[in-house]
Amino acid sequence: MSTTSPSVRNDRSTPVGQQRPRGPHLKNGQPRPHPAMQVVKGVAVALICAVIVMPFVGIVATSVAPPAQVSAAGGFVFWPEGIDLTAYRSILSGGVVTRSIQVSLFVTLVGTALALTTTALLAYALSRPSMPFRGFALGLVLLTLLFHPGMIPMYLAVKDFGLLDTVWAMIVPSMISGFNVIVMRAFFMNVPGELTDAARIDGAGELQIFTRIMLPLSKAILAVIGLFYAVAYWNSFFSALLYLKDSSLWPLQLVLRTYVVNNTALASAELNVDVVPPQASIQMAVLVVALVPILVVYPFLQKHFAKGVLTGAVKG
Amino acid sequence: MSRFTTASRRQFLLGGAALGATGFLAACGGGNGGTGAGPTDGGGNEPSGWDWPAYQAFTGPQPDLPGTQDGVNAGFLAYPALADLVDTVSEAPGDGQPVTAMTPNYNRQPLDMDRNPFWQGLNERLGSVLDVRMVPGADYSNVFATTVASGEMPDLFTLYASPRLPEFLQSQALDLTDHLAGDAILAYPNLAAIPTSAWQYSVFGGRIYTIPLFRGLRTSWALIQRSDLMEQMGLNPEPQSFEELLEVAKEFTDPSQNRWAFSDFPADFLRQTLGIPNGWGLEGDTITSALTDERQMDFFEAGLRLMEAGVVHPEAFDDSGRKSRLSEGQALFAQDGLGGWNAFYSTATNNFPEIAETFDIDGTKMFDFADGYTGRPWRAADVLEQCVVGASAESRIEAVLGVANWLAAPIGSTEKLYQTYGVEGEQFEMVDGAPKRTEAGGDQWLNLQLLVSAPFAVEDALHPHAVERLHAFQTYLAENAIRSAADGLYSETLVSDGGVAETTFKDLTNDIVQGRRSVDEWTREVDDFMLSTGQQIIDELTQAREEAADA
Repeated sequence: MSTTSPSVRNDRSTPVGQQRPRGPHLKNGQPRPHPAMQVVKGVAVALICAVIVMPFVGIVATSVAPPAQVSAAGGFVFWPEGIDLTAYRSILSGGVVTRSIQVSLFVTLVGTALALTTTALLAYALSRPSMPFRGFALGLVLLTLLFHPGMIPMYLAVKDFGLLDTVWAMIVPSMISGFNVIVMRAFFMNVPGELTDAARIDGAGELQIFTRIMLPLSKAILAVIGLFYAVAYWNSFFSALLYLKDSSLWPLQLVLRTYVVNNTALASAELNVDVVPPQASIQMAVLVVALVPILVVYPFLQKHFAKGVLTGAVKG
Repeated sequence: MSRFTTASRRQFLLGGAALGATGFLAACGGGNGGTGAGPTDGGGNEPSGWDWPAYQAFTGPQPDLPGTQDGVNAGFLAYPALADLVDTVSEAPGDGQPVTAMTPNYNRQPLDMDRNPFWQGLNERLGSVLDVRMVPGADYSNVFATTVASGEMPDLFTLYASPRLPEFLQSQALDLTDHLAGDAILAYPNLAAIPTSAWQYSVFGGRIYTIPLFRGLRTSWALIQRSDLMEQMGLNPEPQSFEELLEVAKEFTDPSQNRWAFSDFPADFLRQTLGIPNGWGLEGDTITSALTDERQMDFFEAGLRLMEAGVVHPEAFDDSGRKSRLSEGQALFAQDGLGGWNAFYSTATNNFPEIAETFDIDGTKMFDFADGYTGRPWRAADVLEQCVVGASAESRIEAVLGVANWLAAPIGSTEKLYQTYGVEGEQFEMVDGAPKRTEAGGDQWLNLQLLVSAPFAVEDALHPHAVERLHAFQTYLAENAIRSAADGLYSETLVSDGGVAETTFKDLTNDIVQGRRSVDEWTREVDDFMLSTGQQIIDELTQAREEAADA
């Protein structure tokens, strides 16, 4: 016999002395859902997953499908009738791509390291109440979030700094992101002051506090911000397009982009281009090549990602 | 209205207007040299103080199908025998100093010069290192803008349609008039082989500032039809009225077989059958806009009938599949530029070998919409891209023009063979009597055809029938097609605001024929446009036309 009303039955905190409701329950006391409902939920989750995954499946399938199938399907297939790697051969056949991968790796690795270093230093300084002109400096950082200098002023600045036609033109202009500085500053400000005070009593200077106290505590935010920078550097092509005349310094994204743009039927006819695979195949192959490194890196940083972003974003 | 999307790739290259080849707001580059009646008529309107550059035809191996100065592209059914090729340049034109250049590139990025034997060979032949920046085509506008801002324009560059173009050219480009006007151009024989009419696109402020890349009728658009399907199904390839066209379309359309007559909505073609002007019309001495033409209402009525008849592909307003639907036989008609003609045959050969033998296309001949109408096909500007000699080259103008002359060598010359294919055994091999780039050649090749080029010619040894068909259709267009009254005239407002307006009215047309908006909105939008922008454009075009007439 049960005297518990349905509304009470759903209450997790069953009053002492009252009998728990009948029927199967989960460990947390919640009633186990009806099997039909579980099926419905399962199907819904599967559908949502399919919606997310299918485009990726289509991208990979289209990139390896035979050209005739891609053309017949109007440019997008979900299940290839064979494996044809012509599209990959087309974009990876030139030595240009190989070199561009090296450039992209250099820009991403060195750029991320420098960006993390400078961002962390600036964020730490801005997080210290004792820093002179802190408000003014912070205002300058915030200003960059509100106003972008624009393409031509940036170009002229890069030119005047002598960075044109150097790989540094891809790294330096985007080395500090105002948004990332704000996020990291918020993280640093939440580190208990007692820790830094204790270190200071022990004779540590600011640099030691930064390197021995702050950074070890900041692995999560460093991983997240590092990921932001790495993805941005890996995906960047516009700075290379503007600042680099020497195409041997082009990063992978810019080289691959040319394949997407070039492969119009009009171009192949008008410009004496050799016969190429369908445009869709090339584009999908480019997507795969460009996506893979980031997809590989993400899982390793995933555990830091939520923690780092939440910590930095909601506190401070 | 797929034409607009594809044409957009070219728009940025227009030397003088930011618009597509044909259409409501079509115009073309050029200053005040045009006559409004068409550049081909302008040869006799020599500006005061100098003569139009002399024309001197190439005397080497001649095409199987001759080109014309009126825009019909020369056609080669096979590549000329290598033994017959001639030198058009007796010695390397360069002065030993690097020649800088910038041009859009729609091909694979070539290997850098240090590792590129083709590029090194080109430098040897030019007598100067060609320090060329191959900019991805879609991004050329941004690079062009920053290069202008830096004030470091290269010696040779492909012009981009900038605001205040005449002023830009006068400050950043060399005045070529003294070097190219009259017989002076004969010192550069390949430049002299550019038809006289094309130079009208090069005149800004009464002087020659650019070297035109003459495309001729290659820039024009047509309603392409699958001739082979027409024949197989016993359909009438030359309907004589809208009703007959609709009849053909209904016969072909069968959704259960995945077949619709029109791959895209044939807006331009329908307007042409009604006799609507090609963007800008001329009534007496008055320039008019096609937007305000009263026959637009007839167009919408016909368009709605096409849509209601279900003969237009359901995805007709998505440009991505327009060509492929025609290639695959899902559609009987598709609007397309004549520049893409041979690509249809190549696609069939490579992707649909089962139909490649019989695959055939043709341009649909124009007809009168109905009694009381006079259908006229449109033709686009003969020149889209133009080459500019940067002001920095002033002290060595002869050498830089010599390099341009070398690059403008036509098919039939050794220079063109090298420029297009390289050296036999290194960058190309002869396959079935035609040069074909090797894989290494493809990696090394620099496509400079958008920097400087001879008048475009069609050469397709694999599909000679396609060349013949195209030549015949271009000949038909040359005899029948009308130009925009703005062809050869420069309007600042058209350059700055025309692109947005073009998109606006394209979208409005699409919405109306799909029933999303009412026909009444057309009149309202056109009135607003004419008040805000259209009349200004007409005034500027009229002024440019008067200046040309007075010159």
